[in-house]
Amino acid sequence: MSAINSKNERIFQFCWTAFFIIITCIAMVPILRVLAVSLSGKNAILAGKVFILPVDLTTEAYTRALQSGSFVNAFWYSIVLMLASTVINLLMTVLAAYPLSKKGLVGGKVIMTLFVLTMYLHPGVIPEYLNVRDFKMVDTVWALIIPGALSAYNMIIMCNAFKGIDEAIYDAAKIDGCSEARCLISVILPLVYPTLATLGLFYAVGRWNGISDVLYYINSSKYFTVQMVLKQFVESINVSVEEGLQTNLVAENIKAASIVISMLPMLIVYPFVQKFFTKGIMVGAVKG
Amino acid sequence: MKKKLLATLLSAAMVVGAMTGCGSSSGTTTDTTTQTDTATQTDTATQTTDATATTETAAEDLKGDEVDITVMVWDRGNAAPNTTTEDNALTQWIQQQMKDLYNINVSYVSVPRSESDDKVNIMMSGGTAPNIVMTYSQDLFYNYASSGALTDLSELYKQYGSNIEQYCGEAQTGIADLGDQKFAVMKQRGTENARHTAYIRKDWLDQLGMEVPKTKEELGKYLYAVKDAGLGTPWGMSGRADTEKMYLNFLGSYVDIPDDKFAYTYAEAYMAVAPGAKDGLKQLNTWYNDGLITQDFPTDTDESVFLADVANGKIGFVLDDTTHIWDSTAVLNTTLGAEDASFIPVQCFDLPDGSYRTPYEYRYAMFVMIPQETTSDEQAVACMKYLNWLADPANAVQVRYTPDLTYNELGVAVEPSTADKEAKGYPGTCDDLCIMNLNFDWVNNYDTMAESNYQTQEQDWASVDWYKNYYTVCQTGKYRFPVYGYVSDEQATYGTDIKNKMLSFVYTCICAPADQFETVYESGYQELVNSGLQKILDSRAAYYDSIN
Repeated sequence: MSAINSKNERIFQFCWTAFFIIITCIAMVPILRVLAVSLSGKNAILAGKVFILPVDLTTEAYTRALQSGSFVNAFWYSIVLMLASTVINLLMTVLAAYPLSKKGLVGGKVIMTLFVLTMYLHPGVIPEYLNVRDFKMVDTVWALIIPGALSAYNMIIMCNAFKGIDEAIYDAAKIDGCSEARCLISVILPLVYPTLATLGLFYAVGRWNGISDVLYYINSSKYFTVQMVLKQFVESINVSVEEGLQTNLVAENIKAASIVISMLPMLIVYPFVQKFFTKGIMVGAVKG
Repeated sequence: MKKKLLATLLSAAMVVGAMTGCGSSSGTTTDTTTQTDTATQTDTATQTTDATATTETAAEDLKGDEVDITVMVWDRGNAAPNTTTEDNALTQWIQQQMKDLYNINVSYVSVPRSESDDKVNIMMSGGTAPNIVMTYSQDLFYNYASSGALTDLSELYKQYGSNIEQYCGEAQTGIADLGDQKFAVMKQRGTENARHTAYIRKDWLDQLGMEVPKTKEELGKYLYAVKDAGLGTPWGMSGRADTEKMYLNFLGSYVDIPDDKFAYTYAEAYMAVAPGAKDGLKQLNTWYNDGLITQDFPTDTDESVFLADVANGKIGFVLDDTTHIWDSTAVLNTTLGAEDASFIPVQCFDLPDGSYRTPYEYRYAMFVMIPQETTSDEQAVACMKYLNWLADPANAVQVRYTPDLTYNELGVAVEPSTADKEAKGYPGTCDDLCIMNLNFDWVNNYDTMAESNYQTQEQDWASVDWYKNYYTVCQTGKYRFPVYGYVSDEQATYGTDIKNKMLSFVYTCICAPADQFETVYESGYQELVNSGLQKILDSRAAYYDSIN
């Protein structure tokens, strides 16, 4: 009986593994294709000869992309913006979640309800724009940081992580003379670092890929993020018709090279943070 | 008043999202104002020298108190290193000219090109729009103009718009007028181009022993001959979801246009449902079911398969935007090893009376507008001076081709290379600052354009004669649909939806099984009617009657 179970188990595991390998391969195809296009010659791309392997191998597109003033400026600016934004996001999240995780906080439930409401009640683009305008943040980098400085969803995850820590640890810290601030910094945060790392990644990816706030609030191209610049590259074909013949389109391989370069920071960071993913999200989710 | 204005703009913001990016060739069909089929050309032959003198003289009179203005400029992510779209060698040159000539301080506001209308809407709604904004959308312009969001330029145009009138007059045909008020000045396009052009494989014709077709019937014989000989797909199509370029000229050739009212009513997004067009759809359906048209072409929404098929020589005939397949044809000709080796332009869509009709682009390009809320009277005057300066071809050519421009032996300004522009700090698309006039001396001398095209091609894929033939073929049956500066409520309400459904309707009819064509057509047509098609057509006909 157990042998049959074991055999069935192995077959099940094999099928399951094979299924995910296939899914992974399918998911990899678009990435490999972009990579192949970025390394291929113009004629081979026009002739549709490029799939997942480069044809007429050339690195010219990368040279051109890295010479582009807009792209290079936006790339480095986006990295700095992402780091600064993530630090501020985590700071705001922790500072909001920590007191709200305390059972005795007066008005805590009301405050939490107000936070939750922001997840479901969206004011719309124009009111948000007017709000940002009235705070004199239009066309400043703060417009990309302050309005999205705190995600209610992430704050709730953080709050649950804090709630999952045994009360005895708080008591022990206080007996040792810790203030609330010292307790948070020296005792509690080290215990929730998987959650911090995970939320940090969420925030970083969100900022890196975020484009709508850049579109709405930014008028100076020096504040355009790399995703906004990429969008101009990729969608140039959509506007060329109405403009007639004079428009210079960005070549396909340069678009692809730019996409590859823009993926690099996330590809580098992700493996280091991935190990925290499951643990980080689950911390605080299960209690008792 | 401000609240009412804001409310109107809010609704516009919601609507325009759906319109943004729909830069299809049908954009002109919702455009307006009187453009006739006789595209009269102003003489621009002596413009450069005279204009410079005129400008210098006029500038002395126009220099006034110092004024600051802001001007929208499109960002395409292709600024030179260490520059930005709004601060580079070209913007600095323009700023210096404006300061010296008119004492105007110009600064630029960057707007991402692909999201331009959305961004303009937000800035207009938020009261932060620059003093000069642009759009290609007639609907957006009309919404702003009719809600009082734009400065009335009528008097300013008379007072300060002499260059615009002289050099961009073809574009100022009333398209931007509401009643007796003028709310925008129109950018003048350069070379007059057909909107869509058909191409046929000359080498396949030779192989089959056939002449270049002059009628649809002859085209049909060629398509069947290609199939029988197994040369490839007789008629290649793609399935772009935002343009009717793949079929419009063909369907239009089945439609007899008796008068301007008819032409205006069905221009041009509604041509597929005009009387007679059904026969064209039926013919395409027959050819599709006979295997003459790319199977399942509606799934090729990004045209990658279509363009690859052109480049790989798998297609015998195409109808596309007029120069869209040139790059792919260059690859094919290079592969075949000779200039002119494959596709040649062809006009074979004969009308019921045996003549031809080739719809041309309008002479106007985009609407250049001055928002009322953010612009003082002094700034409005300064804006008009700025635009008038840009309309002068002597200035426009320096903006379009950089102040360091050179001319080749044909007298045509040479497009600077990307490397050259990057080295000198000029933006990748100088055209984005040349917002009034592209109508230079040489642009409509087709012999010169043919020579110029030949000299500037990256690969030797086409001869001078090929280009000359291209212009000759395109001019066969040159036609412009009437257009007026009015957008009815019905069109504003249902227009975008109908346009999308129209494409779906045509694709579905072409791909329907032959025995189900009538059923598919009737149900699709009824859905269009239910979605507001008839209301739009009625409103267009009624408007035409009201002004004639």
